Formats: sequence, structure tokens, C-alpha cells
Amino acid sequence: MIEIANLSKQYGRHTAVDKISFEVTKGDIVGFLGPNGAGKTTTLRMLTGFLPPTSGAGRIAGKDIFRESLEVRKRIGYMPENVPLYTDMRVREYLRFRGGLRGLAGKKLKNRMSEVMETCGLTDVRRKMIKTLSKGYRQRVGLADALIHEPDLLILDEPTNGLDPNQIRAIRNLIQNLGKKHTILLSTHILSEVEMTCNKVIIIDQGKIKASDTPENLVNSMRQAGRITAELQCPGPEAENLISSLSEVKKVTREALEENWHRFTVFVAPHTDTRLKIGNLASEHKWPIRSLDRRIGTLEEVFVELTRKD
Amino acid sequence: MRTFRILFLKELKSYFLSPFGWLILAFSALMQGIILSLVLKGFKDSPRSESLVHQFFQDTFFWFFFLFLFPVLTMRLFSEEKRSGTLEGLLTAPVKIWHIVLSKFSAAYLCFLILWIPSIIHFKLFTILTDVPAPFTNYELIGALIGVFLIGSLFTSIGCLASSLTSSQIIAGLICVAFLLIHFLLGFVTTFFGSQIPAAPLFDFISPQSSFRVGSSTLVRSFIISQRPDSSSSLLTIFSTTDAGNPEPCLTPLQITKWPRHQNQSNV
Repeated sequence: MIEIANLSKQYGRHTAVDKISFEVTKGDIVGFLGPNGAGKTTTLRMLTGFLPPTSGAGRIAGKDIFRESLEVRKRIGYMPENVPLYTDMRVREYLRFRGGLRGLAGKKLKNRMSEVMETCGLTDVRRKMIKTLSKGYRQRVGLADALIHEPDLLILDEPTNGLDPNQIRAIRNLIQNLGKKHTILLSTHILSEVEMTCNKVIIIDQGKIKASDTPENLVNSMRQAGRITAELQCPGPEAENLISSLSEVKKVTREALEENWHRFTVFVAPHTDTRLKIGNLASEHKWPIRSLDRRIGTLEEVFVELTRKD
Repeated sequence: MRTFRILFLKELKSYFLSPFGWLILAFSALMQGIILSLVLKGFKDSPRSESLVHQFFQDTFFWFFFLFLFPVLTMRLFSEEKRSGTLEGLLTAPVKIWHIVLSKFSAAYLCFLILWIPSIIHFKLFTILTDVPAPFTNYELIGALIGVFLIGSLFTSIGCLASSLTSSQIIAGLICVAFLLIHFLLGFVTTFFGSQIPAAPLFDFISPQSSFRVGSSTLVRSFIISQRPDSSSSLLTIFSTTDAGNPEPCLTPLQITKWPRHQNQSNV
């Protein structure tokens, strides 16, 4: 659906986006993550044709984003950051205007309007002026606007920015439902949101892509994920030697607890699980085990690890 | 064309579905009324060789009202979209840029044209309400209006340009006023430095008020003259007539007729 190759954007001397390349396949919900100022919004603006790229190329649904911008814009629904709307229009009027610009008319426009107002929960406020609506409702109007022409691709720039937890949940559910029919690219810096909704994550920092994978793979491949803690009742030094002689183990630390109990912290290579081997070892020597667990990392730790400034 | 129509209607609505357009309309009707009555007062005081329409459009008040009309009409167009960020939504919709620009220009221009309806009514009222023959011909009125509309389209586009340069309405308005004032004052260069300076024809050419004067009087008059069977060389006639003063009979000072008072009114 999206193919980007070596896309760059420079503002004067400052390079906001530095030769990024990625692909998004049809049907994916992709989370576009990055700290503030990483280049997320710039990338999305280039995709939607609002900003021309300095160099590089991109295609959306097989159309060049630069040369066939009009064709691309017909196929995407874009919700900009902070959702700018004409505040002195009524919701229905605004959707009619935006739908008209996208080439909908007559009965088709009417049907689509009532459909998107239904999906986004706007039916009750359809006669209200947009300036009287709360932030959550404005966000929904923006989403309805992006959806009205049934785009192949939805691009959402921080869709849950500035909402309260209930509203965030409502928008997130909406996005999950939309993901069944549309390809979605959403930028955010709220990580729990990505873990819950997205099946692919692109992490970008200082204009460069740091990682691009599924959330599970990212979590599994991180350093923190290879840490196992075990509490055994055993002769300390002997057990420590036996554990560190296991093949995948990199490092073992031991901490003596009460009554001959010891807590071992075992660092192993990523994508391995040594818990079973430690369990077997303990049962061979008849050492009682009271805990044996593997540290499960979060996407937040992956994010921090990848975008740390050191 | 459909997108143009949608955008154009949206812009027009933002003028006339808010108090904004009506306020400008009321203000300009008031100003046009004041200027016309001042000019009529001048007619009453001393004899004038030029017609009422000319006096009206030559008035200093008229130009100051006219020049400040455009910033008010156009300053909002692009700067407001930039400030609120809606330009991003507009430019990422499948809309060509010239659609957007042309729709905004045409809406502002149409709004400007509507502002002249009160003035036309004022001029027409003169003949209806007084039993004096109108101190102008219809051709002069049409010529003057064509002039106003042409200058208006130039000034509206300057206003659109000014509005697209910044995201602040006030600054856009100021830029527009600055452009228009410079343009207007360039016309006074020959007044200050005399018409002997080498660049005098250039300044006369640039000056909106002199092109207005020449255009509105000669163009229409030349048209009338060329329609006359006896004019063999119409072009020569135009220049000789304008240079040698007005060939048309001079207008006598007007007697402003009072409204006929009704008998019962004085009783109340």
C-alpha cells in the first residue's frame, strides 16, 4: 500500500527526515512511533502531498506521491495533528463540504454522511456548530472527515492527542474496528495504544528509522527480554557454576537469601528461553525451586532503548 | 468545476452567513451615501463642468473608503486558513491549487461587486426623487462602474496575495493597505514634482485615479462618439475632446429640491 524509498526532507540546514525507507502492506495497522521532533509529522505530510520531499520517492497504492499527488489524495483519508476544522460550520455542513471536495454527490454523499456519522458517534451532534464541540467530538469529526470517501489508506497524526482516558479508549476501539476494512498508518507517542491496536511498529528518531517490526518481535529481541530470575535452595557457588556453564547464558549474578536460598539473575541471548534447562538442572540435583520467571519487556522499554540519546 | 463551485459557495457563505459581509455592506452603503451628499453639496455651492459621477469618483473621501475596503474583504482569506491549520486539510484533499485561489478571489470579488448595489441605487434615486435632469449620463455611470470593477479586481488580487503571505489577519491587512497606498500615492508624484519630469507619463500610467479618470470618461464617451454618424476619425476626436476640455454643455448649478411635504405631516 505504501512504498517509501530514501525519502528526505530538509528545512534549510536542518534535516527533519533523513533517507527513510519503509513499506506498509494492505490491511496493516501500522504505528509510527517517535519522540517529539523525530520527523513523524513531516513524514506524514510528505505522504499526503502537503509538503514536497527534498529527495526520494514514494508510492501509495501504486501512485507516485509527488507526480500523481491528486490521485494519491483521492485514495487517502488524512487527519492532521490537532484536527483543524472550520469551527463556524455545523458538523453536517462540514462533512457535506468535505465529501463534496472528495467528489461525492447526491444520494451517495448523503448515505456516506449518515454512515460515517454513525461509525464515529456523531449523529447526536450533527446539527451543532463545531466550535461548541468538545475536543473528543472534534477528533471524531476529523476522523469522519478522513473516512467519508472510503479511502484505501487512513493516515492519522496523533489521533488520541489531548483526550481523556475514556475518549482515548473510544477512539482506540474505533481505530481497531476501522482496521478490519482499511489500511491505517497512525503516528503517536502513546505506547500502550500501539501495543493494543497495531500489528506493525515503525520507530523513528532524529529522522531515521530505528526499528520496523511487529510489537512482539520488538519486545522479544530487546536486551531486557533475555533476563531470567530464579530462586533456588542450593549450595550457592556450585549452582552458579552449573548455570553459567549452560550454552546460551551470558552472565549470572547470585544473591544469597535466608536459609540457603539464593536468587540468581541470568542474562541469556535474545530469542532463547533457558528456564526449562534451569528447571531440569534443579530437579537433577533435587534443589527446591520457589520462583523461576522470565522478564517480559514492554514496548516502552524498547522505545526508550532505541531512542535514548547516549 | 464542481470542486470550484463547492469551494466558491463555502467562501461566499463565510461572507454572507455571518455578520461580517453585512457589516461591510452597511458601512459601504453609508460611506457611499455620505460621499454622494458631500458631492451634491459641492454642486449646490458652485457650478461644475464635470458630471456628478466624475465628482463622486474623484472625491478624496471616496478613495480612502475605497482603499480600506480591500484589506477588510481579503485579509481573512488565506491567513485564517493558515492560522487555524485548515489549509492542511484543504491541500490534502483532491483539489487543485488554482481551484482554491480562484474560488477565494471570486468570492471576495463578488462580495465587492455587491457593495456597489447601494451606490447604483443612490444614483438612480436622484432622477426618481428630483425633477431635475440627472447631472450625468448613463454612459458615464456605466463607464465609471466598469472602471471601479476593473480596479477592484486588481486590488482584490493584491489583497489575496497579501493574505497568502502571512498567517496573521492583521499583518495581511496591513500589507494590503501598504501595497494599495503606495500604488495610490504613486499617482501624486506628478502633482508634487510637476508633470515635466521624464517619468511623468509612467506615474500617470501607474496611478489608479488618473487611469480611472481617463478610462471612465474617454472610453465610454469615445464609444458614444464613434457611434455618431458624423465622426469620421473617432480616435482623434477623443483626444481632442479630453484635452480641449469638455465639449458637452456644462451643467448649471443644481437646485436641490426639497421633499414635498405633505399637509398632514405638519399636523402631527
